[in-house]
Amino acid sequence: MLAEIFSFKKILPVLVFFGLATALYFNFNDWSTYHSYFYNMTTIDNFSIVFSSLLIGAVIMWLLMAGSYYRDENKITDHLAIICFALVGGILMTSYTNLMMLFVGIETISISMYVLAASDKVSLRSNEAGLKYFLMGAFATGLLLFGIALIYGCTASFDLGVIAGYVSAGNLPQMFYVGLILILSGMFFKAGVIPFHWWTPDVYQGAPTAITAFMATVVKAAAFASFFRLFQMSFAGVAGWWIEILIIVSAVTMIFGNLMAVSQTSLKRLFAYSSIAHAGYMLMAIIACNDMGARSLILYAYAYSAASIGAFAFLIILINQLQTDHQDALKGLAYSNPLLAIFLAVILISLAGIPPTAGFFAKYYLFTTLISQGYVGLVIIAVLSSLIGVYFYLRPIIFMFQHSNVETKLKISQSSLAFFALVTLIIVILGFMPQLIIEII
Amino acid sequence: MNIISEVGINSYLWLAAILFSIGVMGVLFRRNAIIILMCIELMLNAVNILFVAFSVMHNNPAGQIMVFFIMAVAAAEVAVGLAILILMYRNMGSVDIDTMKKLKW
Amino acid sequence: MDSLIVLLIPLLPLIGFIISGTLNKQANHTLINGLTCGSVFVSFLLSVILFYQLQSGSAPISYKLLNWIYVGALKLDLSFTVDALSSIMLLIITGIGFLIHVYSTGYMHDEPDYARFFSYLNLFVFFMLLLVMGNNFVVMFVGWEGVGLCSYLLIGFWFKNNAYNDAAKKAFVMNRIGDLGFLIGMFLILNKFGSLNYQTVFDLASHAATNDPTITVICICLFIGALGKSAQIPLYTWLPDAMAGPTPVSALIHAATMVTAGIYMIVRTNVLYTLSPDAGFLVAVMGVATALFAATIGLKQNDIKKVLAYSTVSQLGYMFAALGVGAYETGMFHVITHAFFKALLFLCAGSVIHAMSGEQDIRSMGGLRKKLPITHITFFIGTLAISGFPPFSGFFSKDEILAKVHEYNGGFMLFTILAITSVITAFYMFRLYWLTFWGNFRGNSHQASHLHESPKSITIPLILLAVFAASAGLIGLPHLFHAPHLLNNFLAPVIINAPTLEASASFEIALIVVSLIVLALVTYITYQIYVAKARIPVADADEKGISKWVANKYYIDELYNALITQPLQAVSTFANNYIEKYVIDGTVNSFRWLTNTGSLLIRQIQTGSIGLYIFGIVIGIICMFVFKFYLA
Repeated sequence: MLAEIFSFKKILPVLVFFGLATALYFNFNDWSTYHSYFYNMTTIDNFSIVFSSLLIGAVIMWLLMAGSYYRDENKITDHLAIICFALVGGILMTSYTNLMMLFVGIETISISMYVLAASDKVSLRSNEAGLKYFLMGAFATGLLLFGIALIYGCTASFDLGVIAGYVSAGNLPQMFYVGLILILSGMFFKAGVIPFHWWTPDVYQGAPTAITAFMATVVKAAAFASFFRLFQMSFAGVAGWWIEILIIVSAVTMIFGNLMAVSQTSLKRLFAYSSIAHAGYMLMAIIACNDMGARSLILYAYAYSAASIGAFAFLIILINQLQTDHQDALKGLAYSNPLLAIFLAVILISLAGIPPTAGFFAKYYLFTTLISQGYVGLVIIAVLSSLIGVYFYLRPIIFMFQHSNVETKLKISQSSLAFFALVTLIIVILGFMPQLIIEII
Repeated sequence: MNIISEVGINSYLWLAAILFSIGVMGVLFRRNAIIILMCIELMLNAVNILFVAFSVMHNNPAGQIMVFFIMAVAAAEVAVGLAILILMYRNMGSVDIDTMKKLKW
Repeated sequence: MDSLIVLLIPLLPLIGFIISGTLNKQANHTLINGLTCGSVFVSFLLSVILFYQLQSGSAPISYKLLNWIYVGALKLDLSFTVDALSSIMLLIITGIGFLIHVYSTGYMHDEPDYARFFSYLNLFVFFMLLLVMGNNFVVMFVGWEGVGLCSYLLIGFWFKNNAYNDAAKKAFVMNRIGDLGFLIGMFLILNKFGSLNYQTVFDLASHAATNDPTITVICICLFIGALGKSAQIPLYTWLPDAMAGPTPVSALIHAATMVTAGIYMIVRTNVLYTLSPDAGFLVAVMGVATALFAATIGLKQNDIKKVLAYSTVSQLGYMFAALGVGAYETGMFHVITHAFFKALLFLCAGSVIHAMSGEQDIRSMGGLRKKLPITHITFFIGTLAISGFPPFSGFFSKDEILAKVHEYNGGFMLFTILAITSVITAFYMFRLYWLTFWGNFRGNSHQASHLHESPKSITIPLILLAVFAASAGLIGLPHLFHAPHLLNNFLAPVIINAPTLEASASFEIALIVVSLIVLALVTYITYQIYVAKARIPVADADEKGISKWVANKYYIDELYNALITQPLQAVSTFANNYIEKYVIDGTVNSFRWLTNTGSLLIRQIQTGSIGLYIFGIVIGIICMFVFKFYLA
């Protein structure tokens, strides 16, 4: 399955597309088989299949979207190779059963992203984004590794199952908890939650828009899949210990992520902060730490990825044609490009979590899961902060419906309109039939 | 018989922790991106010491294998990092991280 | 097969509505006629089939469409049941509804919004059928609200006239007040019996104790609903205003069918009302009071449709009086006869208005009997029927009501008032008749030149209705004639445990004789006043004393305006100007301010400096350590 992706990595996008489709097929071929690969260092279970399907699907969508972005650039082959490489890292992150694999996966995806973030060689912003991402990412890797080392020191193994057995035996040394906090820090950084979020807005804004789209979907989903997997499979036994940290971090992330997004005028930066806030919501699934949590995390990841890839696809068009991502550029869009405006409105409404879109049901399942476990206070905070979210997600829609002196008419090809229609369709279908995803595992 | 029993695991632990902290401090207080990169390498090497020490203590080779992984990854990281630094130097004429404040708020 | 019929009866008008509602203004009239009249006619034929099956002793016929509301213990189906009571209502709705559809094809012929009118009519028929066919309270309520909606749409059919729109809104608001009572009643039923299904509720209720206070409250709440829909004191004022709608609408909705929904509801829940004599007494008193009150207003009205409207309110009062004393069959009897003669009278009035080029004031009419012979004869039959001349239908039903009320324990006072009311009824009806059809023509020359008998599509329904208005009384002959009371026998399975009130033969004879004499006297007097002496009512401004009071409808509208509307307006103006502006907007805006300011402050921490970022991360880690190792 993995070789499938490698073998196509240096060829044209069409081939990559079909390669990914084949990978998706082989991926589902493994359904419920629970195969283990690489001497038990990865195990394909249904959770990982659903997530790696999300990753592969997101990359396919990304390809469809980025086709227009790379049309006039000749470095597409390099980028595609690195994207596929990153995808391998992402898939490792969803299916690892060994901390060594987790480390390799994280580094594979991270190093690819450092390169891609800085890939616009002449742009200072892109350079800055790459450097910031790289320095902080390497620092966080150090933290994560130190944590892994301490855990290894206690358990003498990298295997998640062995660690879980060690945890359930009880009587854990201080060193284990120190390691746990350091691992948490590393994961927090990759997931981009406050106070480890610093890189997110700057990198999202500075990186080329197509790369930002990749980061917001694939990297985010992979980070949360690995986060959830690690804490459910290994550390569930000491959940009482780390859950308090997660609750505080999740609450702070939701509130401040949404709050900081409110005053943004750059749409790209707005979506960056919104991704921080969404990370706060997805942390709630890890707090639940059970099958219900896994289901809500999957639904949330699908809903969020679909909506944000649509949003970034729109930004690519906007930035390509108007050289700006300021929200004022949206003025009058509803009159000049009504269809596009409708699609974008659906995407934003889904991000805000208003029914009948996928975003609403994702939040709904997440909140019911948390309430059923008694975290009512956290859910209240989540609901209140998502009210702030509604404020800034609806503002672009208002802008679209305002008349402006400068008629901004975007040239949209039929194929990209079809792409937006596809995204909208996915959002609405998931909105009406969330059980498609919820009941899959 | 082995080196751990002679020196004691705690000493290794402290050594690694101190090295790691020096690395963190370096990252925190240095402004030159290359030195920061070196400090990060120091942090990774502290981790490597820890892995090797634990590996010997538990008589388990996995830790040593992990060290090889880390080394390989660190090498890749440095390669990418230096490439980015060269890019930065070309564009800005400096590797001082304080010059990089275009993206904020 | 039978259940399919049950489904088809309401479905056909709905299909008619959907198709004609989607047609545009230029659509072919023949198509619309065939569609809307045809669907109602087929429904009528199907209703007749069902009626004959029930007549020959078949059990009630049901059709369950779907499991509708299944929440917890509450299980409601969207299902229809046709029993004796709903079968009679079906015949009235589809039968008279069909005649009025046919009539409308002539009456509305020049209307530009032809398709819209007929689609509303069909929608009304659909909701009315839903109302009477449902087998639980919720289906009835859906129909109940639906007919209210159609009533609103049709009163305001000529929506370019603002007064008509106001009338429509008034009808809607008044009905909503009643609906609230109905809703509360429904909730109480659900609370008390745990179900809203007729069968379940009535089975449980038949074991309940008499004078149970909850049941009394339920009955009163349901009665408030009926007050609104059937235009009784104090919620009657919308019905006269509703005459703003086209005349066929007044005939169908505001005379024959919708306004009797309140009667239907009480007859349907007769089990509950029998258990609560107090509520019954209240119903009787309100009915009698309304009957008298509306009849006196009718005396001084000069608009041909307004007279009929007040007469409708008054006749509905009769029906409530019958229900209140426990004579449910008699109430239904009057519903049937009233449906015929009042629809007839309204359609005749429509024919007159049609001939008079839209003139509705009887002071401008007179002498129309020569120009409109068919309308004249049929109107005369209607007048005789409503006044209670034997052997026309109104005589039988009204006398039965009077007899039953007389037998009611402590009902003598009520009986006296009703008897007086029936004299007044005869008086204003004959006044209307003489002024319209006798004497000299008082309109202008333009109207005179246009006077003509209406086309066949109008006169044929008139003739058919006149036949029924004359003969419908035969289904309920008094005991005196030793003939079977067909209606009572047919309705027997539906009416459970109701008290028996039988007047003696001698009393009935006395009643007939006295009423005949009095009616003859009234006819003579009114003839003297309005034809022989040709006293034409004076202009409204010249009225004096009590008659001015009556002519202005006792200033009830003004009273409501001063007591309810004005204070409400004042409160809402205050709320709009102060509470809305300062409290609500102020709160909302301060939250917005807080969010924006907070956001502007917090985003400052994102300085762009890598050093500070990493410092932030380290601080975060230190916080976690402190939190877990020193605070725990």
